[in-house]
Amino acid sequence: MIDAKRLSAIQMDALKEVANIGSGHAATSLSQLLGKKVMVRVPKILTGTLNDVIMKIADPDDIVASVLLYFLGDLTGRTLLLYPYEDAQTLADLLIFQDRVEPKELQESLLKEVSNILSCSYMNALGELLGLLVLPSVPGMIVDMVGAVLSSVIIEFGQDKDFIFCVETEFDFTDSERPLRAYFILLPDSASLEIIFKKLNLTE
Amino acid sequence: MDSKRIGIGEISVSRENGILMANGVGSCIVIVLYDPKQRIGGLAHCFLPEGDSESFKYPKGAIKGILKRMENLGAEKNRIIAKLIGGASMFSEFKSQKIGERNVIEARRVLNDLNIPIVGEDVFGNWGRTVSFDVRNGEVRVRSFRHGDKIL
Repeated sequence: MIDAKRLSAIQMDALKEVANIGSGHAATSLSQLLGKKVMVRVPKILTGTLNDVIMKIADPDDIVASVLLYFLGDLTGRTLLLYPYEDAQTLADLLIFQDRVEPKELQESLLKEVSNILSCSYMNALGELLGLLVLPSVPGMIVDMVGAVLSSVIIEFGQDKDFIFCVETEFDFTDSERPLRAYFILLPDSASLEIIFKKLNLTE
Repeated sequence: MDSKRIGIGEISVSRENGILMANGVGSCIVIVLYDPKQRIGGLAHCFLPEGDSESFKYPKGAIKGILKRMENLGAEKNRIIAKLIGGASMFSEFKSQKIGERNVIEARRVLNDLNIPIVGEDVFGNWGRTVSFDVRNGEVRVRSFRHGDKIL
């Protein structure tokens, strides 16, 4: 079993590269949907206790629109897309070229669908790169405090609750009127980490 | 006035002044204990229902830990009252391990075994909460994004 606490520098770099390819594909999909330039930051690997990881991502009180997907198949785990609340609303507006999308249900539905596309292109890219089958679930969406969302996703659906391992990528929409942000968080199960490293010939 | 954030898996105790906070509580359970006469209060932010009982991750260990610290400050056990906040099931459309629900049930059980009355609760549901516990008067303010604010 891979111990996520003891990853080598090469393994960390490889994971970042894998995440980079996934998020690159996701950014391309988003860019095509919006007709705008989308930038991807260098992925970050976040590890530590629940508290540490949440504080590294955001203030627990911040309101976010969050979309959760499961993935099954050769790799298992979860993906979580987080949009700061204001940015989520602006993104929905951009998607259908309106000033303010009404009603709220339509806004949520739009975000859910775009997140579904992003998560799937991220996971498909990973699957293709590694030659693995990855099947995403239907998305679930909630708008709430980021602390409540993240802690619940990890506690309710995760395996290891004492040591959290996730890969975060930040998306930036640079040429919209004001910069928009989204955070993509990959939470692989530890068995999946092992499979990824095996495929990359990086097991010791 | 001092306000202190209590992270997940931590406890804190204060006397006469200060605000104890737990931010963005989802399936976690926040346990507030208070001795109104001495104005000594404690807050625990637990995230799992059962396991190694000494750890503050679990209601059992956390409640024990707070009681000990409160008694050291002069609180009397037979005056202590409790309030519970949290235990939500976020993303209720997915099949989960029902940890939120189990957290609430376990906290109630431990308090009941210790004969500590629960005088206020804001638990379950599918939304996040932020808790501010004012140790001067025992007031617990629960803020939420989707379901307004509440005073316990």
